[in-house]
Amino acid sequence: MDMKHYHPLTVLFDIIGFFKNFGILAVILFLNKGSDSTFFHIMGWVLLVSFVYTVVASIWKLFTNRYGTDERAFHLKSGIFEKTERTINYEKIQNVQRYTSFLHKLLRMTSITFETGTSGVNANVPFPVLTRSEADRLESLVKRTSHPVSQNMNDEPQPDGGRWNETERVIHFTPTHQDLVKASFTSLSFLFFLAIASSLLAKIGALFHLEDTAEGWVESILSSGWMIAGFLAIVIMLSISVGILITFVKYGKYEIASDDKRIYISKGVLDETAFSIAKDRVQAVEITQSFMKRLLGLAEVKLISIGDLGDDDNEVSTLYPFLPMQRTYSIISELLPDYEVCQHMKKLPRKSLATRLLKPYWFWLIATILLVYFKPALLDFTYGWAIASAVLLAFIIARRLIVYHNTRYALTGSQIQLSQGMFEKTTFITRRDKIAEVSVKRSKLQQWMGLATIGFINRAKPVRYESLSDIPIQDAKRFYQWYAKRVTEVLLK
Amino acid sequence: MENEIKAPEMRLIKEAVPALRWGSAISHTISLGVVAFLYGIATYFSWWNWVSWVLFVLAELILLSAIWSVGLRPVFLVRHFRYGIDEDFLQLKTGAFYESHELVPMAKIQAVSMNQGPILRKFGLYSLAIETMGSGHEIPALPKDTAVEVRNQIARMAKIKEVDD
Repeated sequence: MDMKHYHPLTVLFDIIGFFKNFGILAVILFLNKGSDSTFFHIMGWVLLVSFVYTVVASIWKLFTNRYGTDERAFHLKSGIFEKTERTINYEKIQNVQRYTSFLHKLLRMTSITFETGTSGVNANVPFPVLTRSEADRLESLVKRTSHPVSQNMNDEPQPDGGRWNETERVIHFTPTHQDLVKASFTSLSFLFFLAIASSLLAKIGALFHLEDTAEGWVESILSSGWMIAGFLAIVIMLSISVGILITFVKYGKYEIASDDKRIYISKGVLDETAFSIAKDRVQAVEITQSFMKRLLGLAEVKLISIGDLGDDDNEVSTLYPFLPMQRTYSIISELLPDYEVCQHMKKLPRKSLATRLLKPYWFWLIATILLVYFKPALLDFTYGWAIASAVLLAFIIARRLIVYHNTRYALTGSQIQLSQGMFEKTTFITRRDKIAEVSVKRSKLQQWMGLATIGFINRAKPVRYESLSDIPIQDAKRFYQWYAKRVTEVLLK
Repeated sequence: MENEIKAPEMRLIKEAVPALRWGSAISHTISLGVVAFLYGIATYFSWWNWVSWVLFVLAELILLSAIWSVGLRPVFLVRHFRYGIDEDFLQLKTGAFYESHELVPMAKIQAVSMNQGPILRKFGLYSLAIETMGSGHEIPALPKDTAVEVRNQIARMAKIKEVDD
C-alpha cells in the first residue's frame, strides 16, 4: 500500500479559509492603520503571525500528512510534531458526504467526508480538497465494502478498476419548476421583504401627506394612492422573485436517486452537496410538516443516520423539504423497501384525553403563583395578572387537546410509527432491529386508567429518544413483547 | 393481571435498605450542612435579605427530600426493584407509584462497572452501573458475590455485537 499526499491546492483553500474567518478583522485593522493604539498594533501582529503560521503549517502538512487505502480500510498519517496514525475500516462508515463549493468547482476539485458512528473529534475522515476522480475512487472503495453481497453476485472482474457500476441508479425525484415556486411560498423569506416594504411605504405615505396639506388634498391623495399601489406592486414582485430566486439556487438541482443498495441525494446550483448512505444504515425516517407545509400539503422527509449529517447549512439527509404528501409515502417505500408508511394509524382512546387533561398543570401553577405574588400590571387591566393566568391555562388546555387530536401510532410487522405534534407535525418511523432499547412507564394515574407511556432510543447523532404517552396498556405490553422478539431478525457478528 | 407486563424475577436483598438509608442520610446531612454554613455567613456579613430566604427555602426542601429518600425510598426501592438477565436482554423494573420497565438488548450494552462507595463498603455491597449507547442504568445494591456474577454474565453476553455496531 502506497501512502499518498493530499492535493497541493489544499494550501490555497486553507488560505482562503483563513480570510473567511479573519477577513473582517483584517479590514478593521487596515482601516485603523494610522491609529496609535497599542491594542490595534498587537492585534495586527497577532493576525500577521497567525497568517504566516497558517500558510507554513498548511504547506508543512502537505509533506507530513498522508493517506492510503487498501481493501479494508483508510490509513491516515498526520501531525507535524506529534505523529498520529489512524486506521478506519470501511465497514465503520455510516454515510458519505461530498461538498463542492463554487471555488472547488472553478478549480475542478471537490471535497469528501466519510462519517463514522463514533463520538469525538475523530468521528470522520475528511478530504477537504481532491480531484473528482480520486473522490470517486475513494467512494467506490467504501461502497464495495459495505455491500459485499452484491460483489459476490457478479463475480466477473469489474472494469474500470472495480468502480461501482453507476448505471443502475434510478432517479426518483427532481423538482419541477412548479414544485420550486410552491416551495418558495413555504419559506417566509418574501414575507420578510413585504414587511420591510410596508414599513417603508408608511414612511413615504407620511411624507406625501405632509405635502398634501400644502396643496389640494383630494388630488394628491389620488396621485399618492396610485403611487402607493405602483410602489407596492413593484415591491411585491421584487420580493416574490427574490424568494423564488433563493429557492431555485438552494433547491434547484435537487436529485434523489438510489440503486439497490444505496440512496443518493444531491443538491445545490452554486455550491453542490451530495450525500449517500447505504439503505441498511438508515436508522429511521422522519417526516416533518410545519404549519405552512401542512396547509400546502407538503412535507419534509429526513433519513436518520448514526454518522454526522453535516451542519445546518449543508445538511443533506433531508430527501427534499417540500415533497407533496402523497409522494412522500411512495418515495419512502421506493427508496427503502424495508419501510412501509402506514397510512391508517391508530388514534389514542378517549381515556387518554381524560388522562392528559387531568395531568397536573405544573407550568401554569408556578406561573400563577408568581403572578398572584407579584401582581404585575398587564395591559392596564386591574386584574391583568388574573387574565394572564386564565389565558395561559386556556392555551395549555388547547395545546393538550390539539396534541391529542394529532397523535397517531402504529405497530406493524417489525416497524413502529409515531405521529405527534401541535402545529408542526412529526412522524417517526423506525424498525425493531434499529431500536437500541425500550421502556414502558406508568404513573399512578396511568395505572388507574389502564394506560402507559412507551419510549425507545435510536442510535443517531445525537441519540434520538422517542416517546408516546397514554397509550392503552395492552398496546404498551404488545410493544414490549414485540421488541423482545427482535432477536429473531438481528444479525450477529 | 393479564394487562401487566411480566416483571423479571431477581430482587434486591433486604440488607440493601439500611445501606441506601445511610447513603442518602449522609448526603442529605452534607448538603444541609452546606446550606447552614452559607446561612451563617449570610447572617454574619448581613447579606441581602433574599439570600437568607432562598437558603431557608432550600433547607426546607432538603428536609422534605430527606423524609422521602431516607425514610421511604429505600424501602420502596428494594421492595419493587426487579432485574433479570438472559442471553438476549437485560430487563429492569422499578417503582410502584411510578412504574418503569426497561428492556435493553445485551448487544447494545457498552460497559458494566462495579462501584462501591464508603457506605456500601461498610455493608459489603456493590452497585452495578450499566452503560448503553443512549443511556445508563443502575442496579443500586448487590452483595459482592451476586454483583460479580451479574457483572460477568452481562460482560460475557454483551461481547456479542450486532452487525450494525
